Amino acid sequence: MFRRMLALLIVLVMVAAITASCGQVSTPQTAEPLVWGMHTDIGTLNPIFTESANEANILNAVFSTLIKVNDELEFEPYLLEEMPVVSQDGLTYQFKLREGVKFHDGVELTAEDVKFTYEMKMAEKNAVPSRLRWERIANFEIMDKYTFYITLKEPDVTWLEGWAYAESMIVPKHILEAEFIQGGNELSKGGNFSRNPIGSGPYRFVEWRANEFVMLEAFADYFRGKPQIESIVFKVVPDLNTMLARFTNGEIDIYDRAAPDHYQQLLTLQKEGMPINIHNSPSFMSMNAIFNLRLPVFQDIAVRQALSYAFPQERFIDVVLNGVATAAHADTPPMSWAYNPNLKQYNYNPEKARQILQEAGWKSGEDGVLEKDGVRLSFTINTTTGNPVREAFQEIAKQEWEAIGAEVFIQNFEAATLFGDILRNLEFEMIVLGSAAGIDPDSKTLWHSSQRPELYGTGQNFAGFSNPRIDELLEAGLQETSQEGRIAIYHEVQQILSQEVPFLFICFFNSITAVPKNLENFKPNPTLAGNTWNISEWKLN
Amino acid sequence: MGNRYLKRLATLLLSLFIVSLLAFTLIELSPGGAMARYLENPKISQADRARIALRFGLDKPAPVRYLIWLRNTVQGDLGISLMTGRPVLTEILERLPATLKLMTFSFIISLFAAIAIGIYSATHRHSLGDNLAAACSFLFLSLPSFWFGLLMIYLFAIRLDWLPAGGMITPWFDPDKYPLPTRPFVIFWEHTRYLLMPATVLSLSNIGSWSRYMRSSMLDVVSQNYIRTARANGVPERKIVYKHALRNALTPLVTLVGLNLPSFFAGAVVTEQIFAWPGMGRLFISAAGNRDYQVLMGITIITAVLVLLGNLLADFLYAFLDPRIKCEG
Repeated sequence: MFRRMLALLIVLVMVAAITASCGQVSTPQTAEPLVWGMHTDIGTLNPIFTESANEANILNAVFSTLIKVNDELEFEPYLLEEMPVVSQDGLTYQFKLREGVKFHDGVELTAEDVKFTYEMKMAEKNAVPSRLRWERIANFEIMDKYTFYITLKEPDVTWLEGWAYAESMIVPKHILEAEFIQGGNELSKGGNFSRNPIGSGPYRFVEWRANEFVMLEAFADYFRGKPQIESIVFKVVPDLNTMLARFTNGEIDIYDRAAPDHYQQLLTLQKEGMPINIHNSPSFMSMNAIFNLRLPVFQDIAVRQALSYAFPQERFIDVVLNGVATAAHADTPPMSWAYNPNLKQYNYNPEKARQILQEAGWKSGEDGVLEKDGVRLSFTINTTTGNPVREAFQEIAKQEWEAIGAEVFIQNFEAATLFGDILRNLEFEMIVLGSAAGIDPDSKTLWHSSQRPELYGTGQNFAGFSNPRIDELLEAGLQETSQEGRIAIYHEVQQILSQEVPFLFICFFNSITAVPKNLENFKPNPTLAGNTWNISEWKLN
Repeated sequence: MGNRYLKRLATLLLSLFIVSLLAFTLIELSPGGAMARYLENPKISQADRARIALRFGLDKPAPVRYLIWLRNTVQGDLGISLMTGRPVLTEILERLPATLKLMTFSFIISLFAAIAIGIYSATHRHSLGDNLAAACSFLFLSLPSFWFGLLMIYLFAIRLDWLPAGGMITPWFDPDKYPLPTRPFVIFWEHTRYLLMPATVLSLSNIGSWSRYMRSSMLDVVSQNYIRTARANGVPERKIVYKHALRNALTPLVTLVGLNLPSFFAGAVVTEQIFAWPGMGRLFISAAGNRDYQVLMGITIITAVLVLLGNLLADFLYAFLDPRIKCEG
């Protein structure tokens, strides 16, 4: 009996398959949507609550920002007629919006919507992830339908850049205000608007199936003209190996920010004739090993410099990253206008490393590990589990450093533990992390002595770096208004950093994205804006 | 009779309570904390984090948070997900159909295949077929599912391009495009072609163990006296195997399958990840990584309820199949 049922099942499946394929041949097909593969699912499509890069990729299509940062790192007015005018004292910004920009439901976008966005960010009960840039606003004044002034509490040259990113996207007052009031003066992250967003961007929202995909379609009344590509789907693919597989068989058209070890495979696919373009472009993402300068072993600059000399930076980039990265000697990426190309470099030289340690008074102890004043050159490297590039760094570093007399342990944790406990409580000795720089070279939060988290609870100065000259320079850099002046300041900052090496600076990653060959105007953007920043301009020919 | 059921109910509730307490304690003890994901983002200041913790009640001590959770759950409110801001129940119910679909399909494949293989192996003992089936069983039991899943994707999705490499359905699938007579078949195939690979990968280890179990159970039954009597009475072999032997041999298998019912609802975490199947397993993994306590507790308690109900169902099935077992306490 079972066998008969099995046979019947097989016959049914075969019939279905045949009829399905017949159906596809005889029925006219509309153009299939462009499919973008995303690595994790998103939490919300409401810019008020957005946190992640994946969300930003989709939000770029649905919402608009006041300005944009293009792929050449220049500011462009977007919703604005022109770039904002700043007052002499650096406190007041005057904004003028374009006229005739419509939301997807036909209502025009005005200064009221911008003010409302600000109010939603600051509304007490709203669980907004970051209020940092919004708290800097002292006053928001609307002059007329399209003009408004914002006054800051203190001058801040880095403040303008934030208007280009997803957290500053403009939301419609006429829709969200009702939801806000109905929620008892609270907007909920899981509310209706988060799942059914209405923005002013080139694409309107169609459907979001949780954990599966988000579907968008071109907005006919987009203020720059209807986009050529009719429909775009952002599909969730949690496993990167599956992502490559689905890219290979055509289920996914765009593989954004590919894993470094997939680069070779993508090149092979291209060579074998797959019609794709592979964009290999510099990004602002970097990887560094942070020394915990609170520990005696890392307080000796000789140790830090010796470890830098003993690490084969160039070889690491060539072999582990397939050359898809640039060596770092300080914190500013090469494409930044403040980049200093003349920094102290620690070219691989283990002999020199040994010499530096010897001259600083490190002597070999009984077990071969170097010692000085009762401190052993022994430490643990922490990082996140499951990251092959970081793990490769640990292996290579351990090997090279033990050859010059250090004792190195490796201990890895899963991300939430690493950030939640190890990093936050400053329990690490050396930690390998990735980070993303902003366009503005200001790095006060990383290096200023007041930004050590143990002091006032703020700041990203996990290394515990404290250098009076650096403090001076960083403060001056935020006050200085001329670009030449700032270049000089930040050049010196990088100079000191490459000399003092509070981090083992490793590299700046390139970003690899594979797209169909017939996709025009895809321009990788190294900033937080992400690669969909100009999605309205994309064309398929 | 009533007393027995009341006792059953009381045990159920006690089990649920203990499970929830254990789950909560384990989650609390795990390092990282709910605020972990906010630490990676430099734009989120200490003040921001304190504000968010206060907003979601995460600043309260653990026992207090547990009691609040318990009070809310008893009233049917499983809380809000930290990741999406939506009610936990909504998140789970959204994923449940996908998980049930996958697990049902996989169970059916496993059951049919295991019973068929088991019967064949038992009736053709020590033949080439039987030995081959044995070898395959051990192979299936040892293969890691994610590796096999990737292999299947490579073979069927890339090399042969017969099946899609993941997902549950084509987002732009529009059944209205197909003419009416073929439409049900098209819809059926559209759903099936995404299910085939993940369900097969999932069913492998079950086939491996259940077919062995079925085989030995059949062999046990076939050597019983009443089978010999039936044969002696001239009952056709086919009827002996399928009517008399099978029904009795199925009973132990039912128990085994019943024990597997928890996995039915918990979802196949690894397989769902590989095939991008939007089920509860995926939800659990992302909630665990993001320390989304409410979702984790919600999934645990719902799974616990379903497991206990599943055991009840297995008990009834058992009683049904074996008339000797009636009204067990």
